[in-house]
Amino acid sequence: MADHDQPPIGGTVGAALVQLGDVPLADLLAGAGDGVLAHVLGTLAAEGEPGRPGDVSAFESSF
Amino acid sequence: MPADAPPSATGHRPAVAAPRIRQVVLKVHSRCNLACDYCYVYRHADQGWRDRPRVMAPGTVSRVADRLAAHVARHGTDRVRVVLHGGEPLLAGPAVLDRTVRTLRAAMPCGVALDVAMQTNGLLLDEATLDLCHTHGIDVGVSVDGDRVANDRHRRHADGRGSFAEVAAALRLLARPEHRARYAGLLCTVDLANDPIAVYEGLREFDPPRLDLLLPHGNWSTPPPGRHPDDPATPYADWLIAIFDSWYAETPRRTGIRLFESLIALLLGGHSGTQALGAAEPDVMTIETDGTIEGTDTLKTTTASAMRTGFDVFRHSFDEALRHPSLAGRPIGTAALAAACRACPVVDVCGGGLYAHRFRDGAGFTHPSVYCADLLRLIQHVRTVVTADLDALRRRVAGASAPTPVARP
Repeated sequence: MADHDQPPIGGTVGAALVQLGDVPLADLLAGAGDGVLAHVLGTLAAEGEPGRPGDVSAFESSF
Repeated sequence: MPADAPPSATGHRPAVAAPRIRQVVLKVHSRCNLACDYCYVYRHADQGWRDRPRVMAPGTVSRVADRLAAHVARHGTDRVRVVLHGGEPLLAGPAVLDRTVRTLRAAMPCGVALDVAMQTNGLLLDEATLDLCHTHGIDVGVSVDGDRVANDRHRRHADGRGSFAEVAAALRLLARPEHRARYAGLLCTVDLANDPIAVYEGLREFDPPRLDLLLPHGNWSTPPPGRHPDDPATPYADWLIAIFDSWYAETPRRTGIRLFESLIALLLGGHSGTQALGAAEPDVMTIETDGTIEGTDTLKTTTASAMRTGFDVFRHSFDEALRHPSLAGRPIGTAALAAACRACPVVDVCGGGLYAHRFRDGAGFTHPSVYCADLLRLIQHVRTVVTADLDALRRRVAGASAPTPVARP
Protein backbone atom coordinates (compact mmCIF):
# COMPACT_ATOMS: atom_id res chain seq x y z
CA MET A 1 0.00 0.00 0.00
CA ALA A 2 1.30 3.37 -0.85
CA ASP A 3 1.36 5.74 2.04
CA HIS A 4 -1.81 7.42 0.91
CA ASP A 5 -5.47 6.52 1.09
CA GLN A 6 -7.15 4.63 -1.72
CA PRO A 7 -10.34 6.41 -2.74
CA PRO A 8 -13.25 4.00 -3.13
CA ILE A 9 -13.98 3.18 -6.71
CA GLY A 10 -16.62 0.49 -6.40
CA GLY A 11 -16.65 -2.75 -8.29
CA THR A 12 -15.82 -6.20 -7.08
CA VAL A 13 -12.34 -7.62 -6.82
CA GLY A 14 -12.06 -10.60 -9.10
CA ALA A 15 -14.52 -9.32 -11.69
CA ALA A 16 -14.52 -6.84 -14.52
CA LEU A 17 -14.83 -3.30 -13.20
CA VAL A 18 -16.83 -2.27 -16.26
CA GLN A 19 -19.63 -4.68 -17.08
CA LEU A 20 -20.55 -5.35 -20.67
CA GLY A 21 -24.18 -5.69 -19.56
CA ASP A 22 -27.00 -7.65 -21.14
CA VAL A 23 -26.18 -6.89 -24.77
CA PRO A 24 -24.20 -9.74 -26.32
CA LEU A 25 -20.58 -8.93 -27.09
CA ALA A 26 -21.13 -9.72 -30.77
CA ASP A 27 -23.95 -7.16 -30.96
CA LEU A 28 -21.87 -4.55 -29.16
CA LEU A 29 -19.03 -5.21 -31.55
CA ALA A 30 -21.28 -4.91 -34.58
CA GLY A 31 -22.46 -1.51 -33.44
CA ALA A 32 -19.21 -0.20 -32.08
CA GLY A 33 -17.86 1.49 -35.20
CA ASP A 34 -14.11 1.79 -35.64
CA GLY A 35 -12.85 3.56 -32.55
CA VAL A 36 -10.67 2.36 -29.71
CA LEU A 37 -13.51 0.67 -27.83
CA ALA A 38 -14.46 -1.30 -30.93
CA HIS A 39 -10.89 -2.49 -31.27
CA VAL A 40 -10.68 -3.68 -27.67
CA LEU A 41 -14.07 -5.38 -27.90
CA GLY A 42 -12.83 -7.13 -31.01
CA THR A 43 -9.80 -8.35 -29.09
CA LEU A 44 -12.02 -9.64 -26.31
CA ALA A 45 -14.25 -11.40 -28.79
CA ALA A 46 -11.23 -13.03 -30.38
CA GLU A 47 -10.06 -14.25 -27.00
CA GLY A 48 -13.33 -16.02 -26.38
CA GLU A 49 -14.59 -15.55 -22.88
CA PRO A 50 -13.34 -12.32 -21.30
CA GLY A 51 -10.94 -13.13 -18.53
CA ARG A 52 -9.53 -16.22 -20.16
CA PRO A 53 -5.76 -16.22 -19.64
CA GLY A 54 -4.01 -15.20 -22.79
CA ASP A 55 -1.09 -16.91 -24.39
CA VAL A 56 0.85 -13.76 -25.09
CA SER A 57 3.86 -12.80 -23.09
CA ALA A 58 3.96 -9.19 -22.16
CA PHE A 59 7.62 -8.22 -21.87
CA GLU A 60 7.53 -4.47 -21.48
CA SER A 61 10.82 -3.65 -23.18
CA SER A 62 9.88 -4.86 -26.63
CA PHE A 63 6.96 -5.53 -28.94
CA MET B 1 14.45 -38.07 -15.96
CA PRO B 2 16.43 -34.87 -16.53
CA ALA B 3 14.48 -31.68 -16.14
CA ASP B 4 14.74 -30.87 -19.82
CA ALA B 5 14.23 -34.34 -21.23
CA PRO B 6 11.94 -34.26 -24.28
CA PRO B 7 8.44 -35.75 -24.06
CA SER B 8 9.45 -38.69 -26.23
CA ALA B 9 11.44 -39.94 -23.24
CA THR B 10 8.19 -40.65 -21.44
CA GLY B 11 6.23 -41.80 -24.44
CA HIS B 12 3.42 -39.30 -24.04
CA ARG B 13 2.75 -35.60 -24.40
CA PRO B 14 3.22 -34.17 -20.92
CA ALA B 15 0.70 -32.07 -19.12
CA VAL B 16 3.13 -29.85 -17.24
CA ALA B 17 0.84 -27.07 -16.13
CA ALA B 18 3.34 -24.36 -15.28
CA PRO B 19 5.58 -22.55 -15.08
CA ARG B 20 6.84 -22.17 -18.58
CA ILE B 21 8.55 -19.63 -20.72
CA ARG B 22 6.62 -17.79 -23.36
CA GLN B 23 9.37 -15.40 -24.34
CA VAL B 24 13.14 -15.39 -24.35
CA VAL B 25 15.01 -12.11 -24.45
CA LEU B 26 18.23 -12.91 -26.24
CA LYS B 27 21.06 -10.45 -25.67
CA VAL B 28 22.83 -10.91 -28.97
CA HIS B 29 25.06 -7.87 -28.36
CA SER B 30 25.91 -6.39 -24.97
CA ARG B 31 26.97 -2.91 -26.05
CA CYS B 32 25.08 0.05 -27.51
CA ASN B 33 25.82 2.80 -30.03
CA LEU B 34 23.82 5.26 -27.96
CA ALA B 35 24.42 6.48 -24.42
CA CYS B 36 20.89 7.23 -23.21
CA ASP B 37 21.12 8.59 -19.70
CA TYR B 38 18.11 6.60 -18.43
CA CYS B 39 19.11 3.18 -19.81
CA TYR B 40 18.33 0.36 -17.40
CA VAL B 41 21.13 -1.78 -18.80
CA TYR B 42 24.02 0.65 -18.34
CA ARG B 43 22.85 3.34 -15.92
CA HIS B 44 21.25 1.38 -13.10
CA ALA B 45 22.30 -0.90 -10.27
CA ASP B 46 23.38 -3.97 -12.23
CA GLN B 47 26.63 -3.31 -14.13
CA GLY B 48 27.10 -6.91 -15.19
CA TRP B 49 27.34 -5.92 -18.86
CA ARG B 50 30.94 -4.80 -18.28
CA ASP B 51 32.13 -8.38 -17.82
CA ARG B 52 30.29 -9.99 -20.70
CA PRO B 53 31.31 -10.70 -24.30
CA ARG B 54 30.13 -8.15 -26.80
CA VAL B 55 28.52 -10.70 -29.12
CA MET B 56 26.80 -13.98 -28.33
CA ALA B 57 29.03 -16.74 -29.72
CA PRO B 58 27.67 -19.43 -32.08
CA GLY B 59 28.16 -22.14 -29.46
CA THR B 60 26.11 -20.16 -26.96
CA VAL B 61 23.31 -19.66 -29.47
CA SER B 62 23.28 -23.40 -30.16
CA ARG B 63 22.98 -24.15 -26.48
CA VAL B 64 20.14 -21.64 -26.10
CA ALA B 65 18.38 -23.28 -29.04
CA ASP B 66 18.75 -26.75 -27.52
CA ARG B 67 17.51 -25.60 -24.12
CA LEU B 68 14.56 -23.77 -25.61
CA ALA B 69 13.62 -26.71 -27.82
CA ALA B 70 13.71 -29.07 -24.83
CA HIS B 71 11.60 -26.66 -22.78
CA VAL B 72 8.85 -26.21 -25.36
CA ALA B 73 8.76 -29.94 -26.03
CA ARG B 74 8.51 -30.75 -22.37
CA HIS B 75 5.66 -28.31 -21.85
CA GLY B 76 3.79 -29.10 -25.05
CA THR B 77 4.09 -25.47 -26.11
CA ASP B 78 3.11 -24.79 -29.69
CA ARG B 79 4.33 -21.19 -29.86
CA VAL B 80 7.24 -19.34 -28.30
CA ARG B 81 8.83 -15.98 -28.89
CA VAL B 82 12.43 -14.82 -29.00
CA VAL B 83 13.30 -11.14 -28.86
CA LEU B 84 16.69 -10.13 -30.22
CA HIS B 85 17.76 -7.53 -27.73
CA GLY B 86 20.80 -5.80 -26.32
CA GLY B 87 22.53 -3.43 -25.88
CA GLU B 88 21.79 -2.76 -29.49
CA PRO B 89 21.12 -5.99 -31.38
CA LEU B 90 21.96 -4.55 -34.80
CA LEU B 91 25.56 -4.04 -33.65
CA ALA B 92 25.89 -7.82 -33.98
CA GLY B 93 25.60 -7.41 -37.77
CA PRO B 94 23.36 -9.17 -40.28
CA ALA B 95 25.50 -12.32 -40.50
CA VAL B 96 25.30 -12.98 -36.76
CA LEU B 97 21.58 -12.27 -36.65
CA ASP B 98 20.98 -14.51 -39.66
CA ARG B 99 22.95 -17.35 -38.10
CA THR B 100 21.23 -16.87 -34.75
CA VAL B 101 17.71 -17.10 -36.12
CA ARG B 102 18.57 -20.04 -38.36
CA THR B 103 20.04 -21.91 -35.39
CA LEU B 104 17.00 -21.26 -33.23
CA ARG B 105 14.52 -22.25 -35.93
CA ALA B 106 16.40 -25.41 -36.83
CA ALA B 107 16.22 -26.62 -33.25
CA MET B 108 12.48 -26.16 -32.77
CA PRO B 109 10.45 -29.34 -32.55
CA CYS B 110 8.02 -30.06 -35.37
CA GLY B 111 4.82 -28.07 -34.94
CA VAL B 112 6.29 -25.37 -32.71
CA ALA B 113 6.08 -21.84 -34.11
CA LEU B 114 8.98 -19.58 -33.23
CA ASP B 115 8.08 -15.91 -33.42
CA VAL B 116 11.10 -13.63 -33.63
CA ALA B 117 11.15 -9.94 -32.81
CA MET B 118 13.87 -7.37 -32.38
CA GLN B 119 13.96 -4.22 -30.30
CA THR B 120 16.38 -1.67 -31.71
CA ASN B 121 17.26 1.99 -31.45
CA GLY B 122 16.99 2.06 -35.24
CA LEU B 123 20.31 3.73 -35.98
CA LEU B 124 21.59 0.80 -38.06
CA LEU B 125 18.27 -0.14 -39.60
CA ASP B 126 18.75 -0.17 -43.37
CA GLU B 127 17.55 -2.02 -46.45
CA ALA B 128 19.95 -4.91 -45.92
CA THR B 129 18.79 -5.39 -42.35
CA LEU B 130 15.17 -5.22 -43.37
CA ASP B 131 15.78 -7.80 -46.09
CA LEU B 132 17.01 -10.09 -43.33
CA CYS B 133 13.91 -9.29 -41.27
CA HIS B 134 11.67 -10.21 -44.19
CA THR B 135 13.59 -13.42 -44.79
CA HIS B 136 13.14 -14.57 -41.21
CA GLY B 137 9.87 -12.84 -40.34
CA ILE B 138 11.53 -10.70 -37.67
CA ASP B 139 9.18 -8.03 -36.32
CA VAL B 140 10.96 -4.77 -35.56
CA GLY B 141 10.21 -2.55 -32.59
CA VAL B 142 12.00 0.77 -32.34
CA SER B 143 12.71 2.90 -29.28
CA VAL B 144 12.01 6.61 -29.77
CA ASP B 145 10.71 9.13 -27.27
CA GLY B 146 8.54 11.36 -29.46
CA ASP B 147 9.46 14.48 -31.37
CA ARG B 148 13.01 15.77 -31.73
CA VAL B 149 12.99 17.73 -28.48
CA ALA B 150 11.62 14.84 -26.46
CA ASN B 151 13.76 12.16 -28.07
CA ASP B 152 17.04 14.03 -27.85
CA ARG B 153 16.54 14.90 -24.20
CA HIS B 154 17.87 11.45 -23.29
CA ARG B 155 18.53 9.40 -26.42
CA ARG B 156 21.94 10.75 -27.34
CA HIS B 157 25.27 9.53 -28.63
CA ALA B 158 28.20 9.31 -26.25
CA ASP B 159 29.42 12.69 -27.57
CA GLY B 160 26.09 14.32 -26.73
CA ARG B 161 24.60 14.45 -30.22
CA GLY B 162 20.92 13.68 -30.43
CA SER B 163 19.75 10.59 -32.31
CA PHE B 164 16.43 11.85 -33.63
CA ALA B 165 17.46 12.46 -37.25
CA GLU B 166 18.83 8.95 -37.57
CA VAL B 167 15.93 7.16 -35.95
CA ALA B 168 13.46 9.25 -37.92
CA ALA B 169 15.12 8.20 -41.18
CA ALA B 170 14.97 4.57 -40.08
CA LEU B 171 11.31 4.84 -39.18
CA ARG B 172 10.43 6.41 -42.50
CA LEU B 173 12.08 3.41 -44.13
CA LEU B 174 10.32 0.91 -41.88
CA ALA B 175 6.94 2.54 -42.50
CA ARG B 176 7.22 2.21 -46.28
CA PRO B 177 4.66 -0.18 -47.77
CA GLU B 178 7.24 -2.80 -48.71
CA HIS B 179 8.52 -3.01 -45.13
CA ARG B 180 5.44 -2.23 -43.09
CA ALA B 181 4.63 -5.88 -42.45
CA ARG B 182 7.70 -6.04 -40.22
CA TYR B 183 6.87 -2.83 -38.31
CA ALA B 184 5.97 -3.96 -34.78
CA GLY B 185 5.73 -0.62 -33.04
CA LEU B 186 7.39 2.11 -31.02
CA LEU B 187 8.50 2.19 -27.40
CA CYS B 188 8.54 5.60 -25.76
CA THR B 189 9.77 6.33 -22.26
CA VAL B 190 7.74 8.99 -20.48
CA ASP B 191 9.45 12.18 -19.35
CA LEU B 192 7.35 14.73 -17.50
CA ALA B 193 9.47 17.52 -18.99
CA ASN B 194 8.04 16.74 -22.41
CA ASP B 195 4.68 17.96 -23.59
CA PRO B 196 2.49 14.83 -23.80
CA ILE B 197 0.54 15.88 -26.86
CA ALA B 198 3.71 16.87 -28.72
CA VAL B 199 5.15 13.47 -27.83
CA TYR B 200 2.06 11.64 -29.06
CA GLU B 201 1.87 13.63 -32.26
CA GLY B 202 5.59 13.12 -32.81
CA LEU B 203 5.19 9.37 -32.47
CA ARG B 204 2.11 9.33 -34.67
CA GLU B 205 4.12 11.01 -37.45
CA PHE B 206 5.88 7.67 -37.86
CA ASP B 207 2.57 5.92 -38.50
CA PRO B 208 3.21 3.08 -36.04
CA PRO B 209 0.79 0.15 -35.93
CA ARG B 210 1.09 0.38 -32.15
CA LEU B 211 3.16 2.08 -29.52
CA ASP B 212 3.70 1.89 -25.82
CA LEU B 213 4.38 4.49 -23.17
CA LEU B 214 6.81 3.23 -20.56
CA LEU B 215 7.05 4.71 -17.11
CA PRO B 216 10.68 5.48 -16.26
CA HIS B 217 12.20 2.88 -14.00
CA GLY B 218 12.34 3.57 -10.33
CA ASN B 219 11.24 2.15 -7.01
CA TRP B 220 10.60 3.21 -3.41
CA SER B 221 14.32 3.52 -2.68
CA THR B 222 15.24 5.20 -5.96
CA PRO B 223 12.09 7.05 -6.97
CA PRO B 224 11.48 7.98 -10.61
CA PRO B 225 11.94 11.61 -11.62
CA GLY B 226 9.11 13.76 -10.25
CA ARG B 227 7.54 10.90 -8.32
CA HIS B 228 7.94 11.62 -4.63
CA PRO B 229 6.90 8.81 -2.30
CA ASP B 230 4.10 9.89 0.04
CA ASP B 231 3.14 12.74 -2.28
CA PRO B 232 -0.49 12.37 -3.41
CA ALA B 233 0.21 14.28 -6.63
CA THR B 234 -0.15 12.19 -9.78
CA PRO B 235 2.08 13.79 -12.40
CA TYR B 236 2.50 10.63 -14.46
CA ALA B 237 -1.23 9.93 -14.52
CA ASP B 238 -1.88 13.52 -15.58
CA TRP B 239 0.67 13.21 -18.37
CA LEU B 240 -0.72 9.90 -19.59
CA ILE B 241 -4.34 11.04 -19.38
CA ALA B 242 -3.60 13.91 -21.76
CA ILE B 243 -2.50 11.38 -24.36
CA PHE B 244 -5.28 8.93 -23.53
CA ASP B 245 -7.97 11.53 -24.12
CA SER B 246 -6.47 12.62 -27.43
CA TRP B 247 -5.95 9.03 -28.61
CA TYR B 248 -9.32 7.71 -27.45
CA ALA B 249 -11.18 10.51 -29.25
CA GLU B 250 -9.69 9.57 -32.61
CA THR B 251 -12.14 7.83 -34.92
CA PRO B 252 -11.20 5.72 -36.68
CA ARG B 253 -8.53 4.42 -34.33
CA ARG B 254 -5.19 5.46 -35.79
CA THR B 255 -2.81 3.41 -33.71
CA GLY B 256 -2.78 1.16 -30.68
CA ILE B 257 -1.32 2.16 -27.34
CA ARG B 258 -0.46 -1.02 -25.46
CA LEU B 259 -0.73 0.44 -21.98
CA PHE B 260 -4.16 1.94 -22.57
CA GLU B 261 -5.61 -0.96 -24.54
CA SER B 262 -4.42 -3.36 -21.86
CA LEU B 263 -6.05 -1.19 -19.24
CA ILE B 264 -9.37 -1.13 -21.10
CA ALA B 265 -9.23 -4.87 -21.72
CA LEU B 266 -8.59 -5.50 -18.03
CA LEU B 267 -11.46 -3.22 -17.04
CA LEU B 268 -13.70 -5.34 -19.25
CA GLY B 269 -12.44 -8.59 -17.77
CA GLY B 270 -9.86 -9.39 -20.45
CA HIS B 271 -6.15 -9.74 -20.03
CA SER B 272 -3.16 -7.46 -20.27
CA GLY B 273 -0.63 -7.20 -23.06
CA THR B 274 1.98 -5.62 -20.82
CA GLN B 275 3.86 -6.53 -17.68
CA ALA B 276 3.07 -3.03 -16.44
CA LEU B 277 -0.51 -4.02 -15.60
CA GLY B 278 -2.52 -7.04 -14.63
CA ALA B 279 -0.23 -9.24 -12.53
CA ALA B 280 1.68 -10.72 -15.44
CA GLU B 281 3.21 -14.15 -15.00
CA PRO B 282 7.02 -14.24 -14.85
CA ASP B 283 7.20 -16.01 -18.19
CA VAL B 284 10.09 -14.04 -19.68
CA MET B 285 13.65 -15.27 -19.46
CA THR B 286 16.73 -13.25 -20.35
CA ILE B 287 19.86 -14.85 -21.79
CA GLU B 288 22.98 -12.70 -21.67
CA THR B 289 25.74 -12.87 -24.30
CA ASP B 290 27.75 -15.28 -22.15
CA GLY B 291 24.82 -17.70 -21.80
CA THR B 292 23.88 -16.57 -18.31
CA ILE B 293 20.20 -17.08 -17.57
CA GLU B 294 18.50 -14.18 -15.83
CA GLY B 295 15.02 -13.05 -14.93
CA THR B 296 13.05 -10.13 -16.21
CA ASP B 297 15.43 -7.54 -17.55
CA THR B 298 13.91 -4.60 -15.71
CA LEU B 299 15.00 -6.02 -12.35
CA LYS B 300 18.42 -4.63 -13.22
CA THR B 301 17.06 -1.36 -11.87
CA THR B 302 16.63 -2.67 -8.33
CA THR B 303 19.82 -4.29 -7.06
CA ALA B 304 22.91 -5.64 -8.74
CA SER B 305 21.85 -9.19 -7.94
CA ALA B 306 18.06 -9.08 -8.22
CA MET B 307 17.90 -10.97 -11.49
CA ARG B 308 21.02 -13.10 -11.17
CA THR B 309 20.14 -16.75 -11.01
CA GLY B 310 23.58 -18.36 -11.03
CA PHE B 311 22.33 -20.50 -13.92
CA ASP B 312 23.53 -20.66 -17.49
CA VAL B 313 22.55 -22.47 -20.64
CA PHE B 314 25.64 -24.69 -20.57
CA ARG B 315 24.89 -26.30 -17.22
CA HIS B 316 21.19 -25.77 -16.58
CA SER B 317 17.86 -26.34 -18.23
CA PHE B 318 15.27 -23.61 -18.53
CA ASP B 319 13.06 -25.53 -16.11
CA GLU B 320 15.79 -25.51 -13.47
CA ALA B 321 16.34 -21.80 -13.94
CA LEU B 322 12.63 -21.09 -13.76
CA ARG B 323 12.57 -22.14 -10.14
CA HIS B 324 14.80 -19.22 -9.19
CA PRO B 325 13.17 -16.39 -7.18
CA SER B 326 13.83 -13.89 -9.98
CA LEU B 327 11.73 -16.05 -12.31
CA ALA B 328 8.75 -18.28 -11.64
CA GLY B 329 10.18 -19.22 -8.26
CA ARG B 330 8.92 -15.94 -6.87
CA PRO B 331 5.39 -15.47 -5.60
CA ILE B 332 3.01 -14.71 -8.43
CA GLY B 333 -0.51 -13.40 -8.77
CA THR B 334 -2.14 -12.07 -5.65
CA ALA B 335 0.37 -13.92 -3.46
CA ALA B 336 3.04 -11.52 -4.72
CA LEU B 337 1.09 -8.43 -3.70
CA ALA B 338 1.10 -6.33 -0.57
CA ALA B 339 -1.95 -6.71 1.67
CA ALA B 340 -3.16 -3.26 0.72
CA CYS B 341 -2.95 -4.18 -2.96
CA ARG B 342 -4.93 -7.36 -2.41
CA ALA B 343 -7.67 -5.31 -0.78
CA CYS B 344 -7.63 -2.58 -3.42
CA PRO B 345 -10.71 -2.43 -5.66
CA VAL B 346 -8.64 -1.94 -8.82
CA VAL B 347 -6.18 -4.76 -8.16
CA ASP B 348 -7.47 -6.81 -11.09
CA VAL B 349 -6.52 -3.99 -13.42
CA CYS B 350 -3.37 -2.67 -11.81
CA GLY B 351 -2.03 -6.05 -10.72
CA GLY B 352 0.46 -4.23 -8.53
CA GLY B 353 2.14 -2.61 -11.52
CA LEU B 354 5.51 -3.56 -12.94
CA TYR B 355 7.32 -5.87 -10.54
CA ALA B 356 10.52 -3.79 -10.52
CA HIS B 357 8.56 -0.70 -9.48
CA ARG B 358 7.48 -2.36 -6.20
CA PHE B 359 10.99 -2.74 -4.84
CA ARG B 360 12.17 -1.17 -1.59
CA ASP B 361 15.79 -1.59 -0.57
CA GLY B 362 16.10 -4.13 2.24
CA ALA B 363 12.42 -5.01 2.12
CA GLY B 364 11.96 -6.67 -1.26
CA PHE B 365 9.01 -6.45 -3.61
CA THR B 366 5.95 -6.85 -1.38
CA HIS B 367 4.87 -3.27 -1.79
CA PRO B 368 2.55 -1.40 -4.08
CA SER B 369 4.11 0.17 -7.13
CA VAL B 370 6.00 3.39 -6.53
CA TYR B 371 3.49 4.63 -9.15
CA CYS B 372 0.48 3.51 -7.08
CA ALA B 373 -1.17 6.92 -6.90
CA ASP B 374 -0.65 7.52 -10.62
CA LEU B 375 -1.95 4.09 -11.58
CA LEU B 376 -5.05 4.52 -9.47
CA ARG B 377 -5.84 7.91 -10.98
CA LEU B 378 -5.25 6.66 -14.52
CA ILE B 379 -7.44 3.61 -13.97
CA GLN B 380 -10.22 5.74 -12.51
CA HIS B 381 -10.12 8.11 -15.47
CA VAL B 382 -10.11 5.38 -18.11
CA ARG B 383 -12.87 3.57 -16.29
CA THR B 384 -15.04 6.69 -16.34
CA VAL B 385 -14.47 7.27 -20.05
CA VAL B 386 -15.02 3.65 -21.05
CA THR B 387 -18.11 3.27 -18.89
CA ALA B 388 -19.73 6.29 -20.52
CA ASP B 389 -18.78 5.12 -24.00
CA LEU B 390 -20.02 1.61 -23.35
CA ASP B 391 -23.31 2.87 -21.93
CA ALA B 392 -23.86 4.96 -25.05
CA LEU B 393 -23.01 1.98 -27.23
CA ARG B 394 -25.43 -0.25 -25.33
CA ARG B 395 -28.20 2.30 -25.80
CA ARG B 396 -27.50 2.56 -29.53
CA VAL B 397 -27.42 -1.19 -30.00
CA ALA B 398 -30.54 -1.74 -27.90
CA GLY B 399 -32.33 1.05 -29.78
CA ALA B 400 -31.38 -0.37 -33.14
CA SER B 401 -32.68 -3.80 -32.24
CA ALA B 402 -35.95 -2.62 -30.66
CA PRO B 403 -39.06 -3.38 -32.79
CA THR B 404 -40.28 -0.42 -34.78
CA PRO B 405 -43.75 0.66 -33.63
CA VAL B 406 -46.45 0.03 -36.28
CA ALA B 407 -48.17 3.22 -37.34
CA ARG B 408 -51.92 3.16 -36.87
CA PRO B 409 -54.28 5.03 -39.17
